Amino acid sequence: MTGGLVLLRARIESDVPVLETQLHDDVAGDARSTGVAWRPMSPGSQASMDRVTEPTDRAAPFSVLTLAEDTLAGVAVLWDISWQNRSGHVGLDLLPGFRGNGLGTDVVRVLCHYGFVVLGLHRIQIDTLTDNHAMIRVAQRVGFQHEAVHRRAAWVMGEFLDEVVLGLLAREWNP
Amino acid sequence: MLRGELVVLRARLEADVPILEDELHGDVVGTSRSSGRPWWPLSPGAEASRYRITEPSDKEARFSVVELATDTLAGAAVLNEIDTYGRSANIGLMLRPAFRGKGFGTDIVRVLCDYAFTVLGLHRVAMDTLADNHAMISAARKAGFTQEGVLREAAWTLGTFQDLVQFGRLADNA
Amino acid sequence: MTGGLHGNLVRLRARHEADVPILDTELHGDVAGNARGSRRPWRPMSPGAQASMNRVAEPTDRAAPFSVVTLGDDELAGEAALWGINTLGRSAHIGMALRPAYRGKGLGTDVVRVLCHYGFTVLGLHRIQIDTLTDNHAMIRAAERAGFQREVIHRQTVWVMGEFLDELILGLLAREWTP
Repeated sequence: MTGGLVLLRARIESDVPVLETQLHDDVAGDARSTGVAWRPMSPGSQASMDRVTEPTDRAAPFSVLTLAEDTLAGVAVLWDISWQNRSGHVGLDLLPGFRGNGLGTDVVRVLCHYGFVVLGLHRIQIDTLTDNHAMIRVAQRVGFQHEAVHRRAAWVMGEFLDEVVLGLLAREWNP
Repeated sequence: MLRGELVVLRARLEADVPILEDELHGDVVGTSRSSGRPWWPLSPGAEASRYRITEPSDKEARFSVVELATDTLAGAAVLNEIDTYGRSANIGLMLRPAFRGKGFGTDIVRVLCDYAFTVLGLHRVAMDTLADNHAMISAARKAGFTQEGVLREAAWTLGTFQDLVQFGRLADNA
Repeated sequence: MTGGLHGNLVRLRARHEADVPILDTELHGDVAGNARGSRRPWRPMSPGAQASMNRVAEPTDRAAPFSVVTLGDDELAGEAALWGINTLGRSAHIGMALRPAYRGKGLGTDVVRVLCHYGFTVLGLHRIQIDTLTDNHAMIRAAERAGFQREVIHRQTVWVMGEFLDELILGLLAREWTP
């Protein structure tokens, strides 16, 4: 699936070591985004969030590539998909060299197209830390509304941080 | 538990199983006409029984039908082929012989539609039956289903190929 | 190579490992096309996934999956299957997807004819049906050319890229079939 700047495709084996090195091995970054305690992980570990998996009905993991150079730029996922409530959550993590280029907005747009149009979801949600201004700006640009602040909800490198919830409904979405 | 005007649909109880297996599955003609599968002798407790107790599933909701007036087991009903992506499902039902011809079928179909559209949020419910099953056809029509066509000679039933009439009903807000 | 079932334009043979990446890329990788042909949500799928509809599988009594190759140059043109084989009702469904470059050449009609021959003659089926979207004119034309009749329209039954579409069921009985 393509946006204006990025292509989202299934994970392939050669992505995995790049993602593990540049995303997982960044302990502070990992702590901010995963909600799970960082642990040392050997190459090829089954515990890797970035490994190649079979498709499921609960989550759709993608690798993000730049359209211009066809280079791996990060990961994106529609996760915690609920068919009962027809909702899903956006997850996104770009490799350090690809941040600040507007790729994030494009990734979220493509995931919204996948969620609202292909899957027929009713609601998509983004959960991020209140100080993650890049992610919040991306969400608001795509039309997500600020809905809630979960106070002191995330343990990150020695302190509890606030988490913000942004939501977008299918009928509000402008492709 | 789901309540209609004449019947209640509730989860299967252990005590229902031998009655349903005897009176419904034991009816070779009725089962051959409704199941789309070859009738087979079934020992009590067989895994293959359509009437045994199963864990709740996202694909199928099995109910026992109970007559409201007398609190007596009247038959079995199922919402199956539940498809959360296509937001559709299929209805099946079979009544004990003593409970046929009382309008229970229409009531059951209405209750199952209410469950499908309101509780599950589905968009479409389908049902099909043999072209000569007038009771089922009438229940479908009274419950607001539209006949969408006939699959010609699609069901092998006791020695002949019979036509299958297909019905569909869309959610009211569709 | 000549094994398998022959039509006028195509040959239907078993799936080979070398077919899988091509079919996964050109058929599964087309999100909108996949949404029209499948009753399950499109999901990203890594190479070699067990979930691939196009993978090499052991034969079963329920489905006969084929790869379609052109007769002239023996190129992979798509996939075709007899699925939902019902031994009691002696019926089955036809499914088919051609690679983009092989559409509009009459191959579909030939594939339907070959699958009918397989179903009616080899398997002894009584009835074959085709389930397709009401706006899939190429498939409907291929079915009607082979003698299929329109039987049912399932209203708004398939979720395709943001809307519910109607599905048409076409049926052909063994006695109506002219090879």
